[in-house]
Amino acid sequence: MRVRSRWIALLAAMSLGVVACGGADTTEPDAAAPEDTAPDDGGDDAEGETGEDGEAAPEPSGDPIQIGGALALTGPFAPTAKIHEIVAEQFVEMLNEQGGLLGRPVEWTVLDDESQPEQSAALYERLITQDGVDLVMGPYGTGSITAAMAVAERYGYVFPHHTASLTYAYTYDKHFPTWFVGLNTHHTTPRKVFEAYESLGDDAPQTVAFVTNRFPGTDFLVYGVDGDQGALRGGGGALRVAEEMGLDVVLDLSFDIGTTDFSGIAQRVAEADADLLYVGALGEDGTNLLASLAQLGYTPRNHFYQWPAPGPMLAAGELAEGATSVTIFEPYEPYLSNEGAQELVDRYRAGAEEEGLSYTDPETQAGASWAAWQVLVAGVEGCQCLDHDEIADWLLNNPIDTVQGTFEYRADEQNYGDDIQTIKQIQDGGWYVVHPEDAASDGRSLQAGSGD
Amino acid sequence: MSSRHPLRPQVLAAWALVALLLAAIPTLQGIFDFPLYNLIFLYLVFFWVAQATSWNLFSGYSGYFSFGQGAFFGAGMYTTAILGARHGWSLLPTLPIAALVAGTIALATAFLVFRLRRLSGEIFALFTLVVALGIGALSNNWTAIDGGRGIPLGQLDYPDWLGSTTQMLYYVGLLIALVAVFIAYLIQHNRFGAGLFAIRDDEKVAEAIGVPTLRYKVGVFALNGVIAGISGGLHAQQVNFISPGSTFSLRVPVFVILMSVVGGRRHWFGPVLGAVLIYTVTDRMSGAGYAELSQIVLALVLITATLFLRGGISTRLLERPVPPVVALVAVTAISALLTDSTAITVFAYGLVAALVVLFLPARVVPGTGSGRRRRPPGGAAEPVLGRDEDADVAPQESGR
Repeated sequence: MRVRSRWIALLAAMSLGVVACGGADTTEPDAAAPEDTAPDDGGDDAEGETGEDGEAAPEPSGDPIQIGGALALTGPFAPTAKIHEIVAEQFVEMLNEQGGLLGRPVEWTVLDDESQPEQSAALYERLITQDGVDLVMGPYGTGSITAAMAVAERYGYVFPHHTASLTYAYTYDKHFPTWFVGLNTHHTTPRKVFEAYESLGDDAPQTVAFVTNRFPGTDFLVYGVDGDQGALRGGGGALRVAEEMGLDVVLDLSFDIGTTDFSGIAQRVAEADADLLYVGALGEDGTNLLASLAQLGYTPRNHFYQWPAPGPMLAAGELAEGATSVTIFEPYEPYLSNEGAQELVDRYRAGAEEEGLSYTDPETQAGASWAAWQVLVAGVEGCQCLDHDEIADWLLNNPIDTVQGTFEYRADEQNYGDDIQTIKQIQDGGWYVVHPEDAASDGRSLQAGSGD
Repeated sequence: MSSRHPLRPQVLAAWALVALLLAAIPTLQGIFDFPLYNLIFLYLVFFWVAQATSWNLFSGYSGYFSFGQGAFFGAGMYTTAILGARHGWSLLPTLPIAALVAGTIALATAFLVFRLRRLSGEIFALFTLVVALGIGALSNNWTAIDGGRGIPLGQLDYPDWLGSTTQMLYYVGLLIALVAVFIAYLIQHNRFGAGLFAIRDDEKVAEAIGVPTLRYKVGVFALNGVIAGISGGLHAQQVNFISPGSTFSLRVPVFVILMSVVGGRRHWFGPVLGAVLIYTVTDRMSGAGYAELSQIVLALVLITATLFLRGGISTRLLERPVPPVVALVAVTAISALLTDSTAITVFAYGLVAALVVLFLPARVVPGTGSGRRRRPPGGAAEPVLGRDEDADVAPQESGR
């Protein structure tokens, strides 16, 4: 008897402890909305709830619409994924302030894929098959997106995504990319870059040196693919496009993901001394390479970076002056005239400042992310439903206004449209769009560098 | 057949019953319509059980600490990805090839390292790590494998009778895990296992009494590679995008070591326990937004288990099985009644409760009497070459 009562006491205490510590499963479909995504009840932000005619937006009601996704909240891609997290929080907050989706409040659940594709696949399985989310938003990073897309396809979910770069691999008929680079980005992107430099006339580069990160997306853009794959043009890649356009390739060097010591690579770049340095890399690779080049006393005459971290590039000061990159959104005209652009700029800056980010201007990453949310909402509002077939059908048959401009998805191009990228350059310590002419900001144009 | 024979009818019947029960779950899911994620979750548990068991067969039983798991797992993944995505093979035929490729890598590594006696102890562990990193670097730079591009897998073909992709992954993952664990069970209970335990206890003594140590080590290392490779091959379909950076990271080696050490390395059931516990807790914490915290918790569990559960969970569970099992059942049931959580979440609560009970000293756990000690796992069924260790005495490490 004594033993039994000890057992009961022990188990009761343990149960209470475990249950109290654990609490309810936060990913249950009917879990309460997080504070930061709950509909605003007024106060200082009341202006955001008021329509143009001065009437308050109707309060969303009914069961929340659950939107789930994963992001690299930890791991090597976390710094950039933070941009997508801020955009998602700001967009959902705005959506709820403006009456929700289909008149219902929206709840956004984000899980951490730890920058691992394997985790990403498992988390989307969880979101769809356990949490029963109504809609999903793609994660950040080519690997994670590619893995998650296969899961979305398995369950027939509409899959908007913002940063995947292996365009040839995405044959799912309900995926909707918002990094609007066209299906044959391995041809069109380098061609656009070299055409911009061609516009320099007598100062146009004659030789080019390639430095490429062994990352799937940058590899595809520099080296292309072997043979034709579906609707994709075979070959391509910046290396071949450069040769086709008459440039002399004087260096082709690859480096591993995670490389931070660029001194050996910098030595090779300096020795090659090309007119144009083409850095097929991402994040802070560019600034690290520039720092190593500076240690050798070498400044590239013209230099292009595939996907740089914009803040650190600006912070590099004189070292980065004249650097170019591609962009699909910048916080000034002509982009500010696009649908929702000013809202993105205002809200993103506020969110980024609150998070303590050093660079608080929205650009390509934030633009693609905001556009992905716009596409998802447009599809749902367009069909007035949560049926994935109907949402996809609506998106494929209607133009969609976004912060990047108007999207028109083409089913025969694996849901890609035109390449709408422009070329930007660091001039006088700031990023400015310089090519093509009709998109250039403040009458700016590409400037040739003098280098050493 | 003696009453202690590992393949006695009662044992075989128990294995068959477990296999049948687990195989019936997809059908039950269809009938009772419980969340499909439960199948996916179980597939992932099977994956980790197979990986941890394969590591433990070599490193746990023989005492040689290997970091080569990533190489075998990655070789399996890439074999399936290359054959499936580039050459149009259907999924199932790629799996034996994945096993063969990984097994061959293991065999080649074993022949090299075990013939060089200076590659022992920490050097052996470092060497296996170098092999894994080297294969990762090779795949990252050689376009015939990957070249840094990554391989999107898409949906590979498989026989229709295996059902949906989730069901197929479940059935094949279950089969691989069951076979791996059954092999570990058989090895533990036969002469081969006794030889491996002898190598672990003292290799020179083992050699002196006639254990063919080289043959045993090479054989079990190759088996480690075969199981890791076939399991990795199947997992490629689950991951869908294979890239060197994520495939050959330290995640898999670290997790299998953690699972085996926490679960117990001297018993076939140790890695199974470790995999179920650690994957369940990790999955629940990640899903609740505590992915980073889960890593800290796992580190604490590892430290605590190393300090207070010598021999791992399986040892303590064999010593006093009733209190943790009662805690598991009771807390799971109470959580199910009091909370609105999913089945996996309430099971996780139960597991944590059972773990706490396992960690408690015998004197404060009701029903354990004076904490009667049993023989340790690994030596429980059959004394290893005459040795019989006390469970609370740390298994002798030979430093390999």
